[in-house]
Amino acid sequence: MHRALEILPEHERPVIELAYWRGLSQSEIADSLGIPLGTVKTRTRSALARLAQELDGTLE
Amino acid sequence: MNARGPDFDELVGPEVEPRERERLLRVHEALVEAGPPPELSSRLATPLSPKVVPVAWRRRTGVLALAAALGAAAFTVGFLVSDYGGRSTDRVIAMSGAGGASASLAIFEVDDAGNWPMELDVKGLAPPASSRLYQLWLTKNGELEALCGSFLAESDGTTVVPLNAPYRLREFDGWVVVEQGSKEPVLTT
Repeated sequence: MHRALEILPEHERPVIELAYWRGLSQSEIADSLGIPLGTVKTRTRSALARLAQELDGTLE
Repeated sequence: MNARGPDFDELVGPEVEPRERERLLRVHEALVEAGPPPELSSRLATPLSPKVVPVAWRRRTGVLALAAALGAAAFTVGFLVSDYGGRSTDRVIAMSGAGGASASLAIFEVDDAGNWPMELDVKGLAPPASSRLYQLWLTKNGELEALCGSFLAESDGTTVVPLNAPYRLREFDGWVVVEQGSKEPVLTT
């Protein structure tokens, strides 16, 4: 999983790190990064989908 | 967040197809189980404050040793995430150098091709020797690694110039401005 995180683009990885390992809510992430809440949600879904694609077959 | 990580429903929202939701849920659970990577991004290594995420850039020996000797106070670095002239910035890097020279490097959102558009605002640069250009470089382990553009400054050492970094920024650990043909930084993080 940690290796898979490396494939995330620069703008997607922080939202995952802040959500999972700093415990910030989506609103708090938006505030911290200075981006709209909708952008945080989009980036989070996109990052999870990217990781799912990368890990397909290993998470079954 | 609880022991099982952030609220999955808040993360993905209600509009995800059931099959896709199941797929994302497996990733979510794997992330929670994996915990933070050992090399957790340096952006998260220090406490957050609103819209400011400090980062301690590694300084190495070699060509940047002189810059390090100029004093930690002169090398304040920060990721300042803010709106920048109407454009959305990913971060703003503070740079400084000898004689009170300073710069602010605004890095805008990466484009689909992988370019990081930037704007460098410099002040107080000394005139370069023999009318050479200044250059902005990404560094790694104290070495100049990737050129991000060249520029000239006004006679008073100021300019604001657009530049571009078509690289994966996480593969580098600092920024410097040098005179063309030189490895000695006149500005550094």
